Amino acid sequence: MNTIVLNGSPKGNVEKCGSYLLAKAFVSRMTTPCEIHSIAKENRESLMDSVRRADCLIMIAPNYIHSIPSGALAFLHALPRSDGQKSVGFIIQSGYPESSESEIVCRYLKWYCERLGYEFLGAVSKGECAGLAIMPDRYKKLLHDFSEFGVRFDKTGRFDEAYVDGFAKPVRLSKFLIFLLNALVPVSKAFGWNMILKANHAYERRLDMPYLERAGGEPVA
Amino acid sequence: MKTVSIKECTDIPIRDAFVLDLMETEVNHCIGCWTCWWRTPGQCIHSDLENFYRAYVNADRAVFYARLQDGFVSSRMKSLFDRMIPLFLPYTTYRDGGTYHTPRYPRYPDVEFYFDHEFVDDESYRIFEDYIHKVFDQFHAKKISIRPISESREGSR
Repeated sequence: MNTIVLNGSPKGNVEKCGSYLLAKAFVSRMTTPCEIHSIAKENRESLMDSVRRADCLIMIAPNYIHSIPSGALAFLHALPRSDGQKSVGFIIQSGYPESSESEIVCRYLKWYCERLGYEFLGAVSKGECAGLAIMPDRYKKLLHDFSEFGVRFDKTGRFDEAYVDGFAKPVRLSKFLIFLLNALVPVSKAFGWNMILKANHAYERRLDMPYLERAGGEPVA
Repeated sequence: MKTVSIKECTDIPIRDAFVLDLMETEVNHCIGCWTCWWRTPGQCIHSDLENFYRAYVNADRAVFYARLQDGFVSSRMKSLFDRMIPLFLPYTTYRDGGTYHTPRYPRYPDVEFYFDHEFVDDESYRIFEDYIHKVFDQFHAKKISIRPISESREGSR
């Protein structure tokens, strides 16, 4: 089976791209060669030629506004119809802790691809990936799990449901998690975004509202 | 009442509103750099949407006229959604089982989202409707209405 991985991130196949790191882990222990292509950085026509030659497509993309990035969506909408012989699967990674933030687009991907005549392998929704490209060392277990997921896919041509379900947890935040995460907001601000803002000399401007106007249309200084 | 209008359908006349015409304006894709959050807070690395940002955060009402593609927003409209992230803070709060970005601005416009599309089945309409609600709930719109374009005030004139 000729499988290709399509990286749907606008960053392309670079080490600072979380989707690319997941893609590399996914294919890392496959015995069948599997190329990783970048939707954003490669020529559309030559990439479509690769799509036409492939038996199976796996798109790995970040969650941008509860869907895939606009460039990946344009590519999806340009996919050729399948005669039922091709299969497709998706891996959507997001910075949100809960996977339900990608639930709607996963429904759309299934509906759309089946309508195009593809066999739908499934859609993995994985949360808590915001730091993946910044601190990959903290994600060794996740990357290992993705390599195992890839091994199982390589052997069977299917998405292993146990892994799909495992990656999706938590699907929604429980009341306890909501209480805990809200209580920890000051800590996560201090040791997350605020540290980065300070390093970039932007902390004092973090709450800027550059486009707000006073009554009468004057900009707020 | 200040209105901002975003249209992908060229035959809709819109009066007394800032208009972003997606048929004429190609919105640069978000490149995922987070410059708008951690280097120049509130300002995108691209400058093509500054007038739209100003109109949106100062409007009472945002009216979208969307030409859907295969039952979903087009990549043009999606590019605009992706590029609206500078209007919100990187910080998050948690409620209703999910995560929300904190508002950067004191308020955001109510949203009327009109679509030009014939859905082929109920499921595809539900997906679309759920998606638009999700997006503008995340964007802190207090009122969200989703209707076919024939039901718009301007479209029915």
